[in-house]
Amino acid sequence: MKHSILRSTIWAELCKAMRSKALWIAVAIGLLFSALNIFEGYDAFLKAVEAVNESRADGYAVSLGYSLFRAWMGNTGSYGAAMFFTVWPVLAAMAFGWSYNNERISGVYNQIAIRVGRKRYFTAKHTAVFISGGIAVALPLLIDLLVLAMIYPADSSGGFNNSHFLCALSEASPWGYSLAWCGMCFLFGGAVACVCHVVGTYLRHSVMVVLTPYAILIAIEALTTMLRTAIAPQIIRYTISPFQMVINGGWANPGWLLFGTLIIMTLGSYAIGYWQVKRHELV
Amino acid sequence: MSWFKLLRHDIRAGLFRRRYLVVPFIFVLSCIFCALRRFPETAAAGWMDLVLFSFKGIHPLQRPEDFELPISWFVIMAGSLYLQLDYLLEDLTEAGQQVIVRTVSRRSWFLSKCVWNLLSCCLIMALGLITALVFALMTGGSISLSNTPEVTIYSLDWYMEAPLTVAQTLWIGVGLPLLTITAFTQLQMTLCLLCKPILSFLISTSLLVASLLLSTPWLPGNGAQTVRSSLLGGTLEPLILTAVCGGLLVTGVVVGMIRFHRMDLLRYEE
Repeated sequence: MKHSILRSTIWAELCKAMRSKALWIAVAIGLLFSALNIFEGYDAFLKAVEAVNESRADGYAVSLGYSLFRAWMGNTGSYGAAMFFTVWPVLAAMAFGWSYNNERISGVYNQIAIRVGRKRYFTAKHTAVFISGGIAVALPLLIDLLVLAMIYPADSSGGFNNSHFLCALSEASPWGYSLAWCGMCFLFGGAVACVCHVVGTYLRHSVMVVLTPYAILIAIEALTTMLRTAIAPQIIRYTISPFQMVINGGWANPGWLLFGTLIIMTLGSYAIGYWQVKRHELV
Repeated sequence: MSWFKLLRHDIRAGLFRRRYLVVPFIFVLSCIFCALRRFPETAAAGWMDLVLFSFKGIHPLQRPEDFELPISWFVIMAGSLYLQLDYLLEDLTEAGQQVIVRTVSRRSWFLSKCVWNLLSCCLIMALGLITALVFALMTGGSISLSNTPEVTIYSLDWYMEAPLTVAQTLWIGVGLPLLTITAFTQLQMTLCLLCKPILSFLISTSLLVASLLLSTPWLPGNGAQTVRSSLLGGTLEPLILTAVCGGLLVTGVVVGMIRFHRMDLLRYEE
């Protein structure tokens, strides 16, 4: 009985999240960066195709030199990718991260909590925020991959130059690797969105709540960069900054570090939020 | 109600906030980054060297793959946007509507917010300058109002025989970054009236990142990057950058005032 209440609460929160305009605005902004990534390399690609066709007509065997996996936003250094990976925590949090704070302040929380219980409500909200944050980050990457697949050849040679924990998969199955990396971005997007719960209802405006994960991630990034510069930038191959972790190929991060960070972020924010719900009347 | 009373309210409620205490930490971070770049047996960075480094930005990119976020610069710029994001809405949803009814003029209320914006940017810059001064004193750097060529080699990756004049240093190290920050925060404030605040922050931040990616005077974020200036080896003329940032600031004020004059304020009560 208790589990069915939790399940229906999670379902209701997920429905709310999927119907939220903010989630689709976040996805649309991500798609804008994705479109920038697609169009900025397209002209050069068409010229290369023309040149290769001419060479082949002359009897030379020439490789195109363009690959889907090299052009994909998740694995390239294009302008679109640079902009996407600078603002991704904001996209993740703006999808549904604001809802808990809004519902506490507006009083909707009381209506739901009195029916399903505060803890179940928080668990359901946390789950919905996680999934919507994941969608806001992973969906533009996935759509970028699929759209590019209609244009570029799926040639894996030279596509991946990374050396982290999915390295072996990138050589065996580039498609599997790309989809797995979309999955990792989904998890990071979800985990970052959940950080919104750390501030509870301390901040009055939802915009400040939404920007909390971004502020925290940028602060961690600044501190880790400083430490790295102070120690020895050449020898450090890992990063503990979640902001950098989603940038594919930049670091040789092992799986335990990535999943450890994900667990700390998700469970840490859940624990803090749950403690606030249990111990303090935040209303 | 006198306009100066409005401004006094904005200074009291919007300028004396605890959140500005984070600004010295942001600039200390930048000063530490500068100190970490110091070569052995070279002079410690002076006051203006630290200020120029804080607004260094990045050299123009040859390829987008070379992009690496200049974190200390980004923290200063995006941090300024973050610190000033919610005051307009906060005041509008608290005492603002009562004040507007009493002053009768919406324009003077918004103009007061624009002046508050300018003052808070000046406060951020002043805190930054004081932090750099204290850091220079503590590390044995010179307290000169111009840069040190020996330091510029490692801090800004640029060799110069003679230092910049005091006027040039203050212009590209203090004046232009201050104008750029003010223009960006004003843009964000105006956008808050046109769309959701989170979108206004996103647009402003995206413009900042675009300014890092492209070295063109039409992207105003280039004004706050000292290495993009022709005085320090870049290709952009500080005069043009000043004009672009000034234009953005004035446009932000005018568009914001027109929008605020016509908008429905009641929806903000929700």
